[in-house]
Amino acid sequence: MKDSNYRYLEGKINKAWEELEGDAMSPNVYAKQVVAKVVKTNPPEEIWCGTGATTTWMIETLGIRWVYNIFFSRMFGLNEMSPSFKK
Amino acid sequence: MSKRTVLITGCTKGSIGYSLAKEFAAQDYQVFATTRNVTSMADLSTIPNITLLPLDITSRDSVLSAHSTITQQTGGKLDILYHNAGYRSLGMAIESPVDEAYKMFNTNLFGILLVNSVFADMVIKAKGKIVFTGSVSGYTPHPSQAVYNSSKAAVELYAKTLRIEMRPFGVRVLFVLTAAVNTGMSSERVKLAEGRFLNFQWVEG
Repeated sequence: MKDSNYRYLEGKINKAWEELEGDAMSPNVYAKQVVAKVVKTNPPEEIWCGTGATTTWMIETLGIRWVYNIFFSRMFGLNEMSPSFKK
Repeated sequence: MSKRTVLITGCTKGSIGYSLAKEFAAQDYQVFATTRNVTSMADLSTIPNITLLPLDITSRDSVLSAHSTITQQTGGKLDILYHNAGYRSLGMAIESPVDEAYKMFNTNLFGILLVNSVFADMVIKAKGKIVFTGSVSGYTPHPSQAVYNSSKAAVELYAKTLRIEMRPFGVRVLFVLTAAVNTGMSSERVKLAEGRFLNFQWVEG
């Protein structure tokens, strides 16, 4: 069976997920914040909640989605050519 | 006056749904907490306002059965329908098996569509709310979860369309853009399996 094309990035990808989810909000805190808004008589149509939500909200609101490409390619080690192309 | 009612999908212990159930109960709602396997949320049964029901959102029989139980208990009204159940697994885009993609879309889009079509009349009767546990992953191109990202983008546009279509009935549609929350869904890491870069991660959020 052919091995993954991304074998060389295994450690980098695992580390990226640890960074992204390492300080994740507890579900109890999340539920308190969200339910308080949901039960309102005039609730907001959108509710942003959880660690990192504000960052995404800002990128979307400012319309600077190109930031995702730079940020994620660096974080996951995808900003450089694969070793299989390096001589 | 009788208590307001909420149905929540995906309430396995440690998940977002589990905490939502407790929080709605604390707000004095009558809560119908559901998940595929009731034993996975058994300790919620000690809370007075919470009723546990089995519900597999990808099965029409299961959805209809839950609908009939809840209809009997609430007189056919439901104040809040909370679509929370989700399924996530990781894999690089070109290495994600189609079967796994079907599984993810079955839970994250088609299951929601099914539950929504069956329960909508109850929410309309109550002029209630339909809430979605969405994800910032519907916006962000996180590498190694292309299929999950696309399922969350799909459900968001479904919800936004639903919002407009529900206006004549006084039903509000709320979408929760969820970022990192520490649940069973986020506790596993990606592992390279032989020939695949994939880790079948655990279910219901």
